[in-house]
Amino acid sequence: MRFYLQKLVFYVVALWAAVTLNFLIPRLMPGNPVDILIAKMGATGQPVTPQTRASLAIALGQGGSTNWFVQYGDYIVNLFHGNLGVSVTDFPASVTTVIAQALPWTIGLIGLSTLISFILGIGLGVLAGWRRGSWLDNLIPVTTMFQAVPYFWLALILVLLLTRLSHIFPFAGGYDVYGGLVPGLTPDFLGSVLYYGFLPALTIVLSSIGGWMLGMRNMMVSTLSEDYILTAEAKGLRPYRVRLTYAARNAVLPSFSGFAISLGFVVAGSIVTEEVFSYPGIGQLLWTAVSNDDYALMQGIFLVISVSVLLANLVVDLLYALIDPRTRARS
Amino acid sequence: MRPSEQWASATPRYLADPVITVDNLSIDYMGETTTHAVRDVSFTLGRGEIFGLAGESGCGKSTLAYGITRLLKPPALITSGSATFHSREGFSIDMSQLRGEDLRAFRWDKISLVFQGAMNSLNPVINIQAQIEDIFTTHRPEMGKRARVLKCGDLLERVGVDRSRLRSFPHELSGGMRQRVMIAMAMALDPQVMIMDEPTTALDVVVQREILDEITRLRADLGFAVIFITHDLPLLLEISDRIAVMKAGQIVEMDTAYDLYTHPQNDYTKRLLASFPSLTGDRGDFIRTGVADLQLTETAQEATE
Amino acid sequence: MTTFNPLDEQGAPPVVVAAPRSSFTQLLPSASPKLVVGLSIAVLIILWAIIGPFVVGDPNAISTQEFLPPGSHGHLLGTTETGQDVWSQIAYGTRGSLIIGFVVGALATVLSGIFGILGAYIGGVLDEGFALFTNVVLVIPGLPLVIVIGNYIPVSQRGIFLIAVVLALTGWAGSARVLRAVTLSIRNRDYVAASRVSGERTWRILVIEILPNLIPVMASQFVFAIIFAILGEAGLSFLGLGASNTFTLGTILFQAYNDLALTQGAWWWFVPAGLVIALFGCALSLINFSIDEIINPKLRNSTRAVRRKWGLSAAQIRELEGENIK
Repeated sequence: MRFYLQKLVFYVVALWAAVTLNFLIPRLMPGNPVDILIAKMGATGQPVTPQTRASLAIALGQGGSTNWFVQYGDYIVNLFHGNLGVSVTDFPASVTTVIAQALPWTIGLIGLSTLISFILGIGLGVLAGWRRGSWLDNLIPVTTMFQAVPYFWLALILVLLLTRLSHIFPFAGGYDVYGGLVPGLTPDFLGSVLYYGFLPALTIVLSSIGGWMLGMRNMMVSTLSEDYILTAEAKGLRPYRVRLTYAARNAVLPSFSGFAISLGFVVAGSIVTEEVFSYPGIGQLLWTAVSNDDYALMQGIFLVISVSVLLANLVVDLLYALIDPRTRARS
Repeated sequence: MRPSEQWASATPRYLADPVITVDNLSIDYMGETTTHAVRDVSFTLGRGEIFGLAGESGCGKSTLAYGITRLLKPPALITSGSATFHSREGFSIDMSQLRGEDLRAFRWDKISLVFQGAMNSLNPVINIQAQIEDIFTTHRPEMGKRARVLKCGDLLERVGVDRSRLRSFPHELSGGMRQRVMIAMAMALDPQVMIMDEPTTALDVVVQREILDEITRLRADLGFAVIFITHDLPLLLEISDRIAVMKAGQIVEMDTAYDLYTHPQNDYTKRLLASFPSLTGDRGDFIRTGVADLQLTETAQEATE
Repeated sequence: MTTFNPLDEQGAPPVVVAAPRSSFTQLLPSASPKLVVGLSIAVLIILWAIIGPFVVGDPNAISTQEFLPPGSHGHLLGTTETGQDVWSQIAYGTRGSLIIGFVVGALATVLSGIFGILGAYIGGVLDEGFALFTNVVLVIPGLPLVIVIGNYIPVSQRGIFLIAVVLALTGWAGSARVLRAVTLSIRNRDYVAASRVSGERTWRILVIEILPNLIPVMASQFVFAIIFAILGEAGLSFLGLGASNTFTLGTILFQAYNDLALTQGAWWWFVPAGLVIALFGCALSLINFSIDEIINPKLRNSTRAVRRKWGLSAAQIRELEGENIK
């Protein structure tokens, strides 16, 4: 029980930190976002009235009292109402709406790719660790080298090879918009989604599989010299049982806890990947927001990403407690 | 008549009814320089006998045991000799020739092991029941689930652990309990030989005594032979029928426990026996057989003068 | 993207604890082919980064010869959209990226050392506080934060060192967590307790007993931080948030992408920059492998080649392998 309480407290603190960070950044940075925006609007010839200024100020959270504590209070209240402000890019759509449209794409792409990468990497790592000195051992430097390659460079090379030089895959988009497909749970739509999502997913998987494989293989090598493996072999258990229930079950634990850490990196990589493939997810949205100086959207996205990563971490932490019975005892 | 005297009459029983015969076994550790861990070792283990294997750390006793049961890991390699198992059903198997599926089926069924430091000999992420059960699912697939669980509970109770501990994880048990669980697992398939590698070294003396009593009681009930490996010679003197003393990979002396204690032939054996302090006798007496350590008594005498 | 050294249940890598005051050579990696290849490539690239800019022409010099393919006279790797020499740009770019890489590596290592090692050794409330702080920083996603912050900074102020500082600030947390776990496990070992009991001063214990065992782990993390920094900088620059007036491999990629190098078929502008990053990253990974083998001696190569070296016959080798896969 104490363990779960500790975890909960931690995540509440982390959430508070993310939220407060989100609040502080625009206020600590040089320059007034409202002024910057007004200047931009003026430069493009848009009419700027005092009302525009006032509503923009409110939308960007600058309106109302100048006391930061009061503003903070308003900000928190707004958050609870799901009010993240108004987007400039899609004016006057609310930030919440805009994000809600893009989020499922990213979760689908990133979630799936990371899972595939994790499972494949761990699986290959188990094999490589079990059969030391085999050809699998040579695969490891290769996959690790893929990790040293910048996501987007790899993505662009893939784009060059597979979409322009040979038109095997489409090079932009989340689904076949021009083919008249309507989003829905139809096989056509889903098929199109998979087709369009394949290359971005491939990029993510290729770039991250090396890490899982290496970590798992190293851990397998360590674990295989443990006493309980000797006991298992002496008991005459079948090799696959020794490999899975005795070795891999123990060896996967650090990778599992590391999965949570890697989520942050995956989000980072996905931002760039989505931009390269024009994939309609959160990453691309952030990119658009940055280009348009859409501060409200930017901060909204940062908050959503933070909360998602925190949630994912929490889920992984709880799962970890389930698969390692010693965790609850340790706290 | 002392049991050991029973052994000494006519054809020794261990020769008449052997369960393991080791013939000129040599084991090397390969590497840039080859280490000869076990050199030309031969001995016979009688059915139901408690055979002690004594020696200091690094003398090769564990390597010998692992070599016999084919648990050696590279770079260790059996370079010559053989170890033969004589089953009570009448057939004999050359253990060094066993491969693959045959080896796997042989393991634990005929010979089981109890390792030292059960701290780490149990899988930390699955519970006790699962660890005992998988012996049955592997070797006795015809057993039903309920029969298996019942048998697991029986095994635990036999070694003095409550049946309710089946659902516990290894980290929730004390050291002594874990060692008992190891012994319970070793008995699961009613083996003909149990090899115990320092089973009580990591435990405190009270628990040690309990475990030893447990082992001798079980042996009396079930009749398996025991190879007991330890550096603790006095312990062996108490419980073994015969003892072999190893040094640098070779057996330097092998005799019944009583004869080894009273008439040690080899110098090394004498030194070993001399290294354990005595509870009785004069202060500074290091040898139980009553022969004082001349050097020490002389120093004591000088001090009092 | 992260690599994990094998960790025990507390999350600490199984450090090969050298006896206190052991020789330094015990800590050095053995000269395996991986290490040799890795070191050579890395050293070559570093030398190129140092000497290159003095040898090549001006990367900023525009000319009318746009999009020339490699090999055209005077331009080893062709030209960009504005006729700039790609070869010179790569030279300057490598220097820029490597500077960022090493600065971030050093900064991140120092930061993770403070929050990981010091906190774990001193223990108590300080340790709890540091650990909580580390975990929170770890869990808040770095790149989006950097993007948001970076966007507020006016373009003119975005220099190399600012980028380096920002990257270091977002990248130290993972290493700190590992270092803390290792320090905790070493701290509980007998010889440290013995030192404490015999009255050794805290700083002496830290430097003489604990630090030598941490060096392989820290070395591996330093190398890893360099890779992270170079890739991170590339990513940031690609998004347009990179250093504004210096050449780095990332800014070159940004320019190439923005000037539609790929659609124009000018692959020579785009490919080399990424290739240098990839090569350097590979070299560093290979070095990291060798360091891994120090940290965990069980990883050391016991492949057929090594076994053949022991003078075993083919039959014996097969026997050994047969024993291994039971």
